[in-house]
Amino acid sequence: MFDLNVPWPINNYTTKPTESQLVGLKNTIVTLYALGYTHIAINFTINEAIRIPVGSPEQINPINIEYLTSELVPKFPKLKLFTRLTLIVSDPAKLQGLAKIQSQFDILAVQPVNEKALQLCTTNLDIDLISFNFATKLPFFLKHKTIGSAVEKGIKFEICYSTVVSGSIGYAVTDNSINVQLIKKNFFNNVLQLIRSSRSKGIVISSGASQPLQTRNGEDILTLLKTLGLDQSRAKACITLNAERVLVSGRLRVKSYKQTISAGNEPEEALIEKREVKKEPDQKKANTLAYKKRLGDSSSGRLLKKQRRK
Amino acid sequence: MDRKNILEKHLLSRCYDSEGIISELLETRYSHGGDQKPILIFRSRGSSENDGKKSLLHRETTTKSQSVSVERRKTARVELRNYIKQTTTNQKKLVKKVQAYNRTKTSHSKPFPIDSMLIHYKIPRYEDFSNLGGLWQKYMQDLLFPNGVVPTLGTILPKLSSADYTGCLLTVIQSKNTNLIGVRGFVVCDAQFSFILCVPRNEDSKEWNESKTNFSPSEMIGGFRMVSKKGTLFAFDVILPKNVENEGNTEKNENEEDDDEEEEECIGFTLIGSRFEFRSVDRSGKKFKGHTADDII
Repeated sequence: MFDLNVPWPINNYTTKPTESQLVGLKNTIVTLYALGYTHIAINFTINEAIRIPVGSPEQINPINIEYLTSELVPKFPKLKLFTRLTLIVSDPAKLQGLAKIQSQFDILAVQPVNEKALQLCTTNLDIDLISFNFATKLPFFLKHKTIGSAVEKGIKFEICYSTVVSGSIGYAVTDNSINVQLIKKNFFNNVLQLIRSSRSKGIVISSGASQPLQTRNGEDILTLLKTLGLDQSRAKACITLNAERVLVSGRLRVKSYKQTISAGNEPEEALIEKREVKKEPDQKKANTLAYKKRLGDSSSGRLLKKQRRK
Repeated sequence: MDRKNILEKHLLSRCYDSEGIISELLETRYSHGGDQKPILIFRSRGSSENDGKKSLLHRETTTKSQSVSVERRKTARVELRNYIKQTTTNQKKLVKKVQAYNRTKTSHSKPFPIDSMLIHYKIPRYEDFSNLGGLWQKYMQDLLFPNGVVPTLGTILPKLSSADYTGCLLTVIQSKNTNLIGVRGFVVCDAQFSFILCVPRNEDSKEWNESKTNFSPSEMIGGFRMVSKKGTLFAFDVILPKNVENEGNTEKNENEEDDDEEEEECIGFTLIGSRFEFRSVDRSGKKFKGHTADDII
């Protein structure tokens, strides 16, 4: 299963996460893994007003994925970690330099806050995912035409269930000024609107959980989606197939040339396979050599060797 | 009058012999003094067929272009297509033969003479293409690592997308047709919608067949396989040339040499068949565009 939204604790470039925040993040990931999620994307959300350090590519992605993989993957071998960027967009004109950013993240998502931004995201931008803030009432009406054209283009829409499961019990993250009941009401209203306008197609559900207790397993999510009016197969696609498509399209943007040839050919997950090479001074070279392997390690390579010996 | 009345002149020239009569007729037709008849009279000249003048409806026919000789109809493309067709039908025949043999097989009957049958039916052998595979690897090394250095993925991948794949060893790693998964072989022909692979026999036919002892008839025969590109992922490896210097990994290389005969390294790539449905000629100059990734998985 796929969870495409585990928030990175920091929302800007200036501060670094504290030790306790990282522990919390690791706990969340481990809890998700225990619930059956193998592909987890860590989400870095920034406002469009924050300037992205486009000049220095290694600073664009603040998520310390190497640290996390080195800590977690040896213990949980099936775990695959990805990075995701969510841009909160209100004025489309301010958004620029997406081309340089997109190679640094595995998934690109956009959170439009008004109708104009949504319109732009669906038509112009090369992104994988659109998410909304479901906690507050959406300031605009979702039209089937806009949403439908986005779904046709392959852009998926995200529902974060943490807004509805976090709440009054004591692990609430929202400030108390907003009523928890109101948040839940808004969530259901907004999700129903999204399901209506997208005709239940192209929906991805993800946790958005900043604490381990906010995660849910697949069965619970299916129940939630069924309550919202999706049928069994569509609900299942939300956590498996659609999410995988988001990941594939995002990964292919990084590691393939216009989805024709992609680097790496592991039989199981050729399209989303991710390899990191230890940071070398010559960063550019590493990105090709990451996919290097011994000839004997690949099946066709063994066949080639066999012939030569004859 | 500067009107030349070319059309009328031309038509009249078929009916009257002398220029004088024609010009006189036209003069009277258009001048104020003439009778200004709205008609032209064409006279038939009985002998017009014979005097060498061609009729107005006559079209030049050259005997050469109209009828193509049998020799000229044999273009390389048609020949290749016929050859592939012939081979696939032969393969089918041979498969049926093996199946028929298996049905009537008793414990002490002779084993099926597969080798002589392969020669008899002219089934292409995988080993014959291994030289082509070597040539392709060399071509790839020249194309991708021209100066002996490994460039970035950003420069390698566009080159690969417009490269030629005849002779490449492809392995199907994912396909909507689950029977195809694991099929591997050298590309014989890169058609628009399919790759035609020459696959190895018996143990080599699939990666997981290496320890098997019983093989299906088609695995015993090998030959050509048509693998449609749609919904299929192909894997291939490009061997790194030995003289490529990896400064960062020099120490590692020295260690590897201790292992056994010098271990070669390769870079793996995946070819996404759904995005490759072009003829190789068109593909070389094509600008690819990204689409939704929904149909890939």
